[in-house]
Amino acid sequence: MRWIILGLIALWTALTGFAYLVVLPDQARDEDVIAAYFGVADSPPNERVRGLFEAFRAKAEAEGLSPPARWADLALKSRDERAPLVAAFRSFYNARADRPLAATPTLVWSTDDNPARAVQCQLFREWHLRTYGEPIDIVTDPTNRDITKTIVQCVAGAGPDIIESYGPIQLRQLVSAGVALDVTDAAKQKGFGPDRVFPVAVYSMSIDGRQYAFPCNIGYTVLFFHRDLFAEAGIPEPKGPWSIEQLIEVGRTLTARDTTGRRVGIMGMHPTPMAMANGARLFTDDGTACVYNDPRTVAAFRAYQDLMYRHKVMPTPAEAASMAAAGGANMNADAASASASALFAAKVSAMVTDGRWSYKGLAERNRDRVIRPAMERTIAALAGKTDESSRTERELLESALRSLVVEVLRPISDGQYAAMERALTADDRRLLLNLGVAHIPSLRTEPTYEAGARVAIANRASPRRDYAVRFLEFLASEDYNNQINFTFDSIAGDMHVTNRNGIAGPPRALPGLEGFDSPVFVEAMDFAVPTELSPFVDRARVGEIDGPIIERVTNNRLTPEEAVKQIEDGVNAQIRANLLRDSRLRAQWEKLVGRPFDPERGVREQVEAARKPAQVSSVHGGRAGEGGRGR
Amino acid sequence: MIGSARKRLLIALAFLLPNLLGFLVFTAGPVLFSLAMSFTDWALTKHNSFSSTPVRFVGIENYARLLWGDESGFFWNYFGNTVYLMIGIPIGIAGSLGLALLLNAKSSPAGRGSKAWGVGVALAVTAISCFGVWMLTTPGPAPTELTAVKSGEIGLTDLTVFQVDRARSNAAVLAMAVLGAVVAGGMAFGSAFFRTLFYLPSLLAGVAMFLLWKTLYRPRGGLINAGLEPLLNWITHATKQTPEWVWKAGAAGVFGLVAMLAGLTVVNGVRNLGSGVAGAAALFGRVAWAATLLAAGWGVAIVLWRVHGWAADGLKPPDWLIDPTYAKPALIVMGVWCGVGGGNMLLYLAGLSNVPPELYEAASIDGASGWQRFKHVTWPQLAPTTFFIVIMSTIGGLQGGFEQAMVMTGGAAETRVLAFYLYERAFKGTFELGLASAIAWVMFAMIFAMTIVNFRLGSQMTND
Repeated sequence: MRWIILGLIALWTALTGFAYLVVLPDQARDEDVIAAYFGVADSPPNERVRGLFEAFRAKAEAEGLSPPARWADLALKSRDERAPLVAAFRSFYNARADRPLAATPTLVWSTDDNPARAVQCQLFREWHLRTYGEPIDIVTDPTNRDITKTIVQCVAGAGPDIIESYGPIQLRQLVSAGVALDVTDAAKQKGFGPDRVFPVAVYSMSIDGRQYAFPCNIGYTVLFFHRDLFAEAGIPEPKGPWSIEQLIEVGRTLTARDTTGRRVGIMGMHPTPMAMANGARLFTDDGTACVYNDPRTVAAFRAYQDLMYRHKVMPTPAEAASMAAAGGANMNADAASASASALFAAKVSAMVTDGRWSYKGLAERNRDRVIRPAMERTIAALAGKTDESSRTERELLESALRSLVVEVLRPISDGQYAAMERALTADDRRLLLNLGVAHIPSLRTEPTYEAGARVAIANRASPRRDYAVRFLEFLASEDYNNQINFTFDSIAGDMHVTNRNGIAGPPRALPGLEGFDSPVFVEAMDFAVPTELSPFVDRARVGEIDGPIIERVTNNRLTPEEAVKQIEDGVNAQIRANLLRDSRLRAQWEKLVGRPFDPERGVREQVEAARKPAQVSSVHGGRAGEGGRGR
Repeated sequence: MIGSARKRLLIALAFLLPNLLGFLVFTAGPVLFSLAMSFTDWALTKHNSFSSTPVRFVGIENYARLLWGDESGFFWNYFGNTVYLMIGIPIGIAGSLGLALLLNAKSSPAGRGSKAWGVGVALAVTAISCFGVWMLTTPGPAPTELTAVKSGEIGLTDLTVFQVDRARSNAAVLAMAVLGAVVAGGMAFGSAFFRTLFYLPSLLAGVAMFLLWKTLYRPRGGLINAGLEPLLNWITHATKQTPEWVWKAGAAGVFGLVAMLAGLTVVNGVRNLGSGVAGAAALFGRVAWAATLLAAGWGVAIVLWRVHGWAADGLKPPDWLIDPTYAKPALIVMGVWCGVGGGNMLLYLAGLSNVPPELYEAASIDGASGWQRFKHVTWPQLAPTTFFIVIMSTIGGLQGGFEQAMVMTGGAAETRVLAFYLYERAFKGTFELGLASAIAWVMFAMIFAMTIVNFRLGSQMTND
């Protein structure tokens, strides 16, 4: 018995060692780098690469490996088909180079597990080869994205090389923790400074004129609607900016009530963006006081409650949770969860506020419920036909289907797309989700979008920080920005690439979802404003103060007047406490306000008293749609 | 001899060293370090290996901020939530005791023949009842809608009413099935079956159970409201049929009765006031009991007083976890459910098995009734167990609540407790490790103080 146990332990050790030392490194370590070499080989970036591939082609032909005319075509082949050439290139390269491919410097990027990241990583490898003439590898680390983890790991010297941050608040936390590398000079030299991006993104990448990051994309939501529901109700589709009153009218018509249930007009409206869109401000321009107690905030909060409790065009939190429960859309769904998107997709809601990133899920829904069955049906119908046109049509459909089934974001040719469209009958088209895109309605004449950028930051303590800075430079490249726009990953930060001339692919949006290339997405940047911040109070603390109050507003347990007063009082009390505790902060506040801080008087009262009437009006001023103007 | 004793000591210490080292490095060290941190302004974003700003000693500033400074609003609010959620502890303990008493009753499985017969009958009755209930309550099929939803033609909400009716039907059938299974299981396996059954919630502890309850609490389609709705409808109907004055008179009567009972309790306590700490503790217990009675009576009276007005609009089941008013009670109910059949029940069962049977025999010979046997034999004999359970539950109550708040309400303000507050300050926003450490030590001080009080009162009770 003892020998059997010992034998099993020895076997387990041997197998584990074999996997770690032989199988895993051989399989994965350098395949992506080799793929990058094949990607650039057809137009080599320098003489070294040109010479390398000329020699490799000769060797591969001599060994009977039949290399393709265009190296890039290898990417279209299966892994098994590529394997002999990949193995040959590895040994060929390692024999000639100073450093084996497996020893290529590897960057770690803490980002989400979006499948698009794999494509972006490959673009970076190829871009690096083209731009710097040397190979680099990059891997993603989706498990360590939480900002607490990131800061702790970076401080301990074990952080990722490239850190991902969302919006101005996280950027400030990372910069204040000292983990973000200042890239101002490198950005000027290499041309990836703030002048390239939409103004709203600057707040997510720079602080006080120093640049620490570059945008991966810009996050904000627009309004999606079911075009067929609008058509059935005889409602014209919204064009250009529109108002809350119009939304209520439309919502009333689209909200269907009968004995079996209801369909709601809209989901996903929130009071704080509505207040911002109505010109309300959380802070003064310099952040010295909270000025939320304002008629515009009250009006927005009231409109928000009215959508649910008076006009009943938006579900209350309890109704929203019940809808999720009834639909089984999400086991853990609650009022504010992603179930709004799922319920919109199920046509429970006629309109929803959501981002361009929702394309993939909706496209998969259209593919699986309508397009794929239609294509399979047509393929089956064409199976017995031997004429040329039928055979061609079948081949087009089969190849398109193979591609779409693997990944809905994979581009297909114009011919394949046309064949797919031909396969859809009128009945099929009725079942497709047919979506339109519009601006978010507001209480004023124009919309406002609170937008923030998802940015990449180079870890200051990383031994590979120079390479990480190159990654930021890559984010400003046309290849990367086009990839973001084309694959519906919201929109890219580079305003020279992301312009009204079009942000459409390949891939082309699937039938019914053409709205995802709407100009509204770019127009929104004209009305985009950043999250309001104050140097005198942490935004997370503001969230802790206003969160419970907004919760009560949402549940109709607090009037708008009481709510905005409580929020303003709470935030100003926190500012006061911070000023009392921190002399440096107090000196900064006094310098901005122009008079000594008096703890006995209210913060807002002091700020308003210190300013001339014109300035006081700017304290109340509506930046939304004004100061935040896009370009 | 001395040399050998020293040698033995060294050997013993050598054996203890790994454990001792682990304790010093991983427990005592961090605990003391956190005490030191609580007197500093250490914030992870301001003071780290990248920063040249030194950590500053701030004395008791962090404690002052918590107790009466700018953090006091948050602190006392979350402390209030913590204490509110602890209301469930005494109910849970009482439930555990009751359950343990029931399960301690000697009920051996029936003989083989009668067992098979009994189980068979129970299962048959259950199956017939389930079918009957299903036939009576099922809302009928909705195949066309289901088909349409699957094909994406219509919205899922159109099925809401169907789903609620279906949930109600499921609840009724489930209740019948569970009842039948319990009867059958009890007949087959006796008290061992029930002990296992009631301990099951403890096996399902943690996030999985919270998710289960979250599903049960759904305002529409959740089993709890699906069951409550017909009951509330019936109450609405009955209330409307009765004149308003009847309800108001009932409210006055209930409160008057309860007030009289509470008054008698206190008066009796004063009459029989003992001497010393024990006497004071006994009186305190009676006053607390009277206050609880009054509060409960007041609550019932208020409900009776207002029920006619509420019924005018129709009584609706609550939006449990969504409505701030019901979020905490929902967590308490769940906590009681978990607590009743858990470890406390096992401890009481163990305690009951240690009560000498001759005490019961003596009490029976003296002509003691069941209640008297419980009051004068069982309860005093279980005092050490109760004492231990109260202390551990109080400590757990003050420390707990984090996972429930996180999982069930996503950290909604009404359900945030001190442990959640500590996490927020240490790992979110400004990463104030100094302040978070102070929170931890204030929590420790509170727990320690409560434990001392428990010890003082409890040990007196135990010794008596």
